[in-house]
Amino acid sequence: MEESKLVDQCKKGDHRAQKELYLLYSDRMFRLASRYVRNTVDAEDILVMAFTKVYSGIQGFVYRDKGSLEAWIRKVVVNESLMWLRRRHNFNLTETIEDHHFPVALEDFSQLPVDDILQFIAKLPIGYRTVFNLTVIEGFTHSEIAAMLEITESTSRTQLFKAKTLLKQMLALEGFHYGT
Amino acid sequence: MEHEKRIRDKVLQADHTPAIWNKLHVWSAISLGPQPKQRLALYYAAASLLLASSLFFYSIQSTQRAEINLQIATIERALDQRESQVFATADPEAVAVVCPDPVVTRAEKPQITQPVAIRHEVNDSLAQTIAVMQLPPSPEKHISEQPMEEVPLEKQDAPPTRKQILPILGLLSANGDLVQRNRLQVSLFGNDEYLKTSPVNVQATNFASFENR
Repeated sequence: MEESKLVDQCKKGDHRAQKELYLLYSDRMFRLASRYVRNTVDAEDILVMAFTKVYSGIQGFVYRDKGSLEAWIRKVVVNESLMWLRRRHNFNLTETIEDHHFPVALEDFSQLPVDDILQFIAKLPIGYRTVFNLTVIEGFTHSEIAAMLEITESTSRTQLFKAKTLLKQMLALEGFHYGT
Repeated sequence: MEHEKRIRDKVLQADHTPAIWNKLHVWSAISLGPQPKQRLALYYAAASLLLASSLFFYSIQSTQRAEINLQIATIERALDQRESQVFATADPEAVAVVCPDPVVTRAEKPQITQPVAIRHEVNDSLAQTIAVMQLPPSPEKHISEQPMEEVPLEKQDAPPTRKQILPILGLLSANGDLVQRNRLQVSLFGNDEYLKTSPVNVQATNFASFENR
């Protein structure tokens, strides 16, 4: 079934269309949620809440092109992941390094296999990991992240800078070093 | 930035690979809809029970207090009626209590100012009793004018005699005798000579016989 028809059927409350939508996107969304929370059970809880919101809020969704549905569902899942994290962790991140963010190149890190990249990201502290995921993987700007996590933009930049620095340190400790 | 783009592409490509997780279990949870949290329902039940019980006890207590207030009011009304009847039937002169006027006498010894005297007067209608505070007449300091004792010249030349000092600590003077002060003292085991109240045999202490070591 095409995506536009799938959306229309879901808007009508068709249970079969809802299941098809779930089977189409659930694996990607599970991986997406797993990058924010380390536990599989927590990621599943996030998916339950996220897809419930998708089915209830699909009436207001307007289908434009092929990737719009997936982008919308991704946004819902990211929001649910952040809400889940906010309920359990204090995101009152006030640590800032004022205007001394020299660029940290992740050249060695980008050459790693994807499983190693995901493992290193999962080892980051929760604040660093969240900002790194939102910035590098999802492509949000610092102002958007600041609004989502209720922190300042400089704090978001600082978290990203520290995440990258820590990734490089972890890479060096693990013995990964490419190019020399 | 290009490194970050490379990382992003790798991760997003990996999202398309199937993952191992409880997909059907999650679907069944989604299709059932969001379950109301049982713990929250318990909290609501406990709170409503607490509120109901507090309202019940408050209502009981208020009714009991109203009954007690009613009983007190009837008793007070009966007492007022009885008191008014007593005042109406009583002889005014028999009820009147007049304090005698203070008599000013010349004291032989200096006196401390007398405390404030309260005079009660009952007016003619006897409806009310008015307490009138009246200060005593202005206290006069009575300075005893004792004549200076003239010491004869013979005694002035004589060597001074030392008086015997009597131990008076803890004793009171009553009619010339030294009496031990009455205190509330508890003796657990019977006879204690020191707990007896007076008279106390006083023996003079001869300080002159003490040696200065």
